[in-house]
Amino acid sequence: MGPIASKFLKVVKWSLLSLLTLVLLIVIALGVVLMKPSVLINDKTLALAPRFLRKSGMDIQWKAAHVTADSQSLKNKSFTFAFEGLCADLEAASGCFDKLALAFDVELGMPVKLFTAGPVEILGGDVLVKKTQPKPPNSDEQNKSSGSFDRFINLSQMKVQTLKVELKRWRYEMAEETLQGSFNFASANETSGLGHWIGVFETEKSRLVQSARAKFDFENTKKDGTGSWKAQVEAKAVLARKGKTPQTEADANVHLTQLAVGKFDFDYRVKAHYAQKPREVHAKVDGSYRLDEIKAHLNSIVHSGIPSAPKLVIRNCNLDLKRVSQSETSPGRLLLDCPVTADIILPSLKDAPNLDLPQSTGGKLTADLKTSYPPSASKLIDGKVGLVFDPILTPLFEGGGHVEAVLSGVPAEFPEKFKVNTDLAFKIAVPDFKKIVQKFQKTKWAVPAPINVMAGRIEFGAKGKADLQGGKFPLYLTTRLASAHEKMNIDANGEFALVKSGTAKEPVYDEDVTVDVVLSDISMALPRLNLEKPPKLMADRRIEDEQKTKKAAVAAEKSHLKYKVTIRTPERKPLHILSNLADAPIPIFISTKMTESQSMTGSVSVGKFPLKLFRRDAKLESFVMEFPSAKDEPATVDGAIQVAYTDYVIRILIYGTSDKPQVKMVSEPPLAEDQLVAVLLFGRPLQELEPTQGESVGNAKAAMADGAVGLASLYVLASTPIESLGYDPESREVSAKVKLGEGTSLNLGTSAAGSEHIGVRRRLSKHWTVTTDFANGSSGSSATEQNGLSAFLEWSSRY
Amino acid sequence: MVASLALSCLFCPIPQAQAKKLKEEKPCPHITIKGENIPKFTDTEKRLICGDPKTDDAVGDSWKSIPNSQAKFSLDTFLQSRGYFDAVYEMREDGFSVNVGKPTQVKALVGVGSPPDLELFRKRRVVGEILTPALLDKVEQWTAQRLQGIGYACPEIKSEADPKTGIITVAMVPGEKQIAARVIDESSGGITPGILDRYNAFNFGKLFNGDLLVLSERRILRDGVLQGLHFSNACEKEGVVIKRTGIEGPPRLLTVGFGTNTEGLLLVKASWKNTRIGRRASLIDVTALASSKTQQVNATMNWYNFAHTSRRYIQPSIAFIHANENPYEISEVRTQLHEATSYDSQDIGLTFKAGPTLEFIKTARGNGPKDSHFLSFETDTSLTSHYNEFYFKSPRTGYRVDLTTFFNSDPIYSETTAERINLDWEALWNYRNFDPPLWVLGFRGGLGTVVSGERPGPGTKLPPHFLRYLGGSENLRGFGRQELTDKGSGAMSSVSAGVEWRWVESPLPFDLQPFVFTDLGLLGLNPLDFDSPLYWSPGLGIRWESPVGALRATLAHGYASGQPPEVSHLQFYFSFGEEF
Repeated sequence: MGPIASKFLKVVKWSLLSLLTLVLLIVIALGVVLMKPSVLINDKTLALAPRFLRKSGMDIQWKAAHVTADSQSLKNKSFTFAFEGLCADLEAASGCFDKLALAFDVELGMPVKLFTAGPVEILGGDVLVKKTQPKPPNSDEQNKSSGSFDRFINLSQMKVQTLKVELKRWRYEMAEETLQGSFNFASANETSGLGHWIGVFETEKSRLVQSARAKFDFENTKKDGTGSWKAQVEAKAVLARKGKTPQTEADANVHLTQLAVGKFDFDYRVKAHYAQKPREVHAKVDGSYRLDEIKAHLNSIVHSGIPSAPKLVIRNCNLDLKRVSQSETSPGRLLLDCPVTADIILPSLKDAPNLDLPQSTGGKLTADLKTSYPPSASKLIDGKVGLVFDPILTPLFEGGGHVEAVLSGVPAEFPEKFKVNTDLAFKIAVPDFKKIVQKFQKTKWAVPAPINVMAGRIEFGAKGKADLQGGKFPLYLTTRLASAHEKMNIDANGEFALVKSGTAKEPVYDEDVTVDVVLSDISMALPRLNLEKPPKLMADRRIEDEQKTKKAAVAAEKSHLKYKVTIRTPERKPLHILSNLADAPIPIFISTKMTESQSMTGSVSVGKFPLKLFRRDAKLESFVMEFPSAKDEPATVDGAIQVAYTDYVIRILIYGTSDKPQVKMVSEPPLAEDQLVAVLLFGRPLQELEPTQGESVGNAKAAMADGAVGLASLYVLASTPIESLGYDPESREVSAKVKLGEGTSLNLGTSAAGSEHIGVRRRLSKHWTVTTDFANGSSGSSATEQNGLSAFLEWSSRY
Repeated sequence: MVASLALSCLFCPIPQAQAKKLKEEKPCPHITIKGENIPKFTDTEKRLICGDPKTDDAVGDSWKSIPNSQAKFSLDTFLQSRGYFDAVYEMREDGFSVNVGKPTQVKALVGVGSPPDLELFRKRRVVGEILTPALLDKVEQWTAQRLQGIGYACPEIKSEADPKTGIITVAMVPGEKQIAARVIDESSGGITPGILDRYNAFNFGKLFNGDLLVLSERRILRDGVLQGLHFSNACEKEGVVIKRTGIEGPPRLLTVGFGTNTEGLLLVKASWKNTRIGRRASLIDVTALASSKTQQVNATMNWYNFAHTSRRYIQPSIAFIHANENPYEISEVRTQLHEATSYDSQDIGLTFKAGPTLEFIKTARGNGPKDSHFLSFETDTSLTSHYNEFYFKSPRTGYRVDLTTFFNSDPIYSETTAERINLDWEALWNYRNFDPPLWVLGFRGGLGTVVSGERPGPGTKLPPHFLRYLGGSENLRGFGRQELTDKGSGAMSSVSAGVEWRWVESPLPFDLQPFVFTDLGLLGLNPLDFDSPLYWSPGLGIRWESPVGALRATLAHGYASGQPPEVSHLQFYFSFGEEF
């Protein structure tokens, strides 16, 4: 062995000796710590802790601290920590405690297990918790930490000593508001430990909460945590009012009774009340939860607070959900047998008569569903739900119906992957319309003439398939009303839908109504009309209270009602209008559509019918009024009337817009329009007319050209024995002198003072005029040198 | 003391009038209508309120019974159309009574989108009037008419009103100002298209004015060329295209009438006209006119023989005249052959006639030659502003000037040289151009002279009606017709002027319009020379614009400066159709 090898062996020998010595020293040190942990965990080492904690982002300090670490056996160690004036400042929370004392025993091993906790005493605490955005959890870390925590604490094997937490003040800081209050939670007495805990949680008045208090009482039947448990929670909260919103109050009393140790079977009893006047819900539920069955017995009264929505009373409603098989998909069966009573609250009509309706109507809600067990919203349900209404039978109304829905789908995926097939059959009918007329006769809701003379039946209801996911219901209305002269048979079918819009936070439900109204058989009488300017049937919309107009506009803007209504007559069955001015019923075809955003579009047309025009038998060949889609555009008219004479047939063509109709006349064989107007107005050709009649022809033409003759006025003029007709292009006023009888005439259209005439010429009657001439006018009569005016009563004749 | 008390009490507060007793009407037994004034309803309206007991026709008993609520709704609508918005109802089971309240008066008229030159404030008889749909129609119509009058040919107008505040708002989209581009003649029958352009009060290529269309239409109808006529206009790219639609009617018109003239004389008139001779619509007018003072037969032809669109025409005429006035009595045969033309700008219309006039005159009473003849060169010029002509029936604005001259010389078939010049003018001012006017101030005047070596008096060669006279409603209303003759023989010169203030919107009933005036006048014995005295006549009068023309009554006192008081006296006139 050379000197190098000998030197190497020497180094190895000393290294091994040193390592052995080091291991020996470590083992001795560990043995000392194990036998006497206070060597490592003591007040001095604890004093060093804040420095290390600060490095890891936790600022924890205390005024005084004392720690004891005792070894009860080789593996079991006891620790007590007692702090005074401890303050901690963490990222999401901070707080100070007058006293914090904590004792626990652990069993050393892999892993270390906590087997005794307590007594714990936290006194005089003042804690601030800040609302922070939760960090997205790192799933690996979460799993790791939760796993190690589970291994560290096993509640079922852990003995908990007395616990006393007195937070003088806790605060929860949110963006705009801080909630604060106190929290006490402690063992019921010094010795109860895990056997009986009670606690009180209270908040102070803030902008959000007026007051809130919850009292907890968890009691173990064996007082040591090894028996079954009873829990009772009494909670009451009053939220602060915001502006004019009503006070919101809620209270609940929950009793849970565990039936067997270590099993999750219990009976429960809940009594709850929620109120935000006038909305209010009272509910009592009692039942049981078993491993294979859940039962509930519900009594509830719901006041919706909405005047038109009924109060709902649920009495003795039984729900039974049990496991019926071991099937993984639908092991459970849900049975529901739920009698419900709903108040009938009709729309509030001021001064409406008593309709003798029952105060409420009943029904029964039943269900038979295959479900998961225990219930889970993310698993399939499948079955039937039904609601049967009790029949309504009153002197004025009769009704009844049922709803049946077949469900299939996963509730959590509603409505996308959830099928509901619903059959509706509901009706409310007025069997004797006369009784309604009589009932309302003396009220402000009286049925108006000419409908009030009719008798018959009206039925309204919902029948057919409904789409609950889309909130769609099929509706219908049928009338079968008639009187001696009139008839009103209407068949309307449609759909009502509640469509969700708005944001997820603030959803808005639009009421969407689509109705197809078929005027199956209608004959309606107009009031008896004189040959005079027709009366205004509706107030002039141009004159309206500005506030009222604004309110209406705001209401229209706020309205969530969307509608699409088509009104039509059957293809070959027009509605008929009866009038004393028409020899026969006037046939009218309607095909119109209205929506909330668009006024009426479509057309109203008059079918062929005979009439008297210009003292002749005439025939309306066609008349169509088209309502354009543009909102403010007037309707267009297109019509033709035929008046037959011995030698020729005159056709009056009406076209243009309803507010400015144009009238054109053509004839077979062709005549000049002047001649046509002359013949129509006076029954003679132009050459045979008196001068004033000739002027009338001119005026009629001018007025027609200007669209100054409304359709009603045109009819009145055409139906009147006209003596003369005047037209003022400035004022666009048409005046007519009509012959009432021999020697008597009547001026129509405009007052004398309101009508300007050509220069100073005024017709008095046939042939006669009053004329004022200016002597120096261009008429050529300049014989008088001096200027002057003359007024003449003249007789004149053109030839 | 008493007088001062009385005077001071003029300003005492007037005790508030006691609440008027409400009138009551029952259109049917179960409905009572109350109010200080109860509006009248038509028969159809009454049926819609009370029901229709008649059941024997197609309508049957459908409207026999009207429920209270429906009757109230209908009545509310009918009341609204009459300006009643505050009706108070007392509903009973078996009917109702309603106090219709007072009609709402318009408090303000507001324009939205109004061009500055519209001057909506000029529209009167809106504020203070009863708010009705008909009033809104009128406001819309006036606004459209005024906009068309200032060039906005195709405006869009919409009005609305708030019955609570009484404010009418007129929203308008006037569009662009347009020019009058062209006229299209429709159905003017046998007349050459474009012939009627001679009546145009407007010019093509100039700013469109709807009033001038109306004026043009009136001119055509006044001449009787067509029996009926209508202008309509459409806004095109090139400007406003005007459509002129006429009804010819038979061309011959026979008229017989009686009436009165400015001086209150009874008149009888007969005329025969052919208003459409040939394709250029020449005109023949034969008129006979008779009053107790004057009888005349006049035959005139307006012969349009120049290029068809020309306004020039030849006017031959012959007149047989007998005049029996206070100062004289003459008979005359007058023949004329004039060439005439006319011109219209956007503001004024001018007519001009000139040509030889041959007069044969026989003097039966008064100074002057028994038989005389005069061959003169006559000119007639008349200048009238369009708005004076437009408001001819109810004068309020504009001006008119008429100048007539006769030039002759005794060597050329005349009794003596007697050159006559006559100038008349009138100007009216409508205060702030209100429509209708609040008050109108008018000025008028006349100047006439005969330039001749002859002087009035016995042996003169001047026929008496060549001379100048004053007095009468035409110039000096404080004196009788032609009462002022300057020493009984007539004068060589006369000048007159008058001013009149008419209160159009007076508080008098029946829309009576009071007015005050003063007329001044001078006569002179030499051509264009005026002598004292100064005649003047302050007075007052009243005017009523009846449906058939204006009736006027005046009472004035005539004074002559420096003359014996006998000359001065009160003079009353009542006239029909005359305006200032």
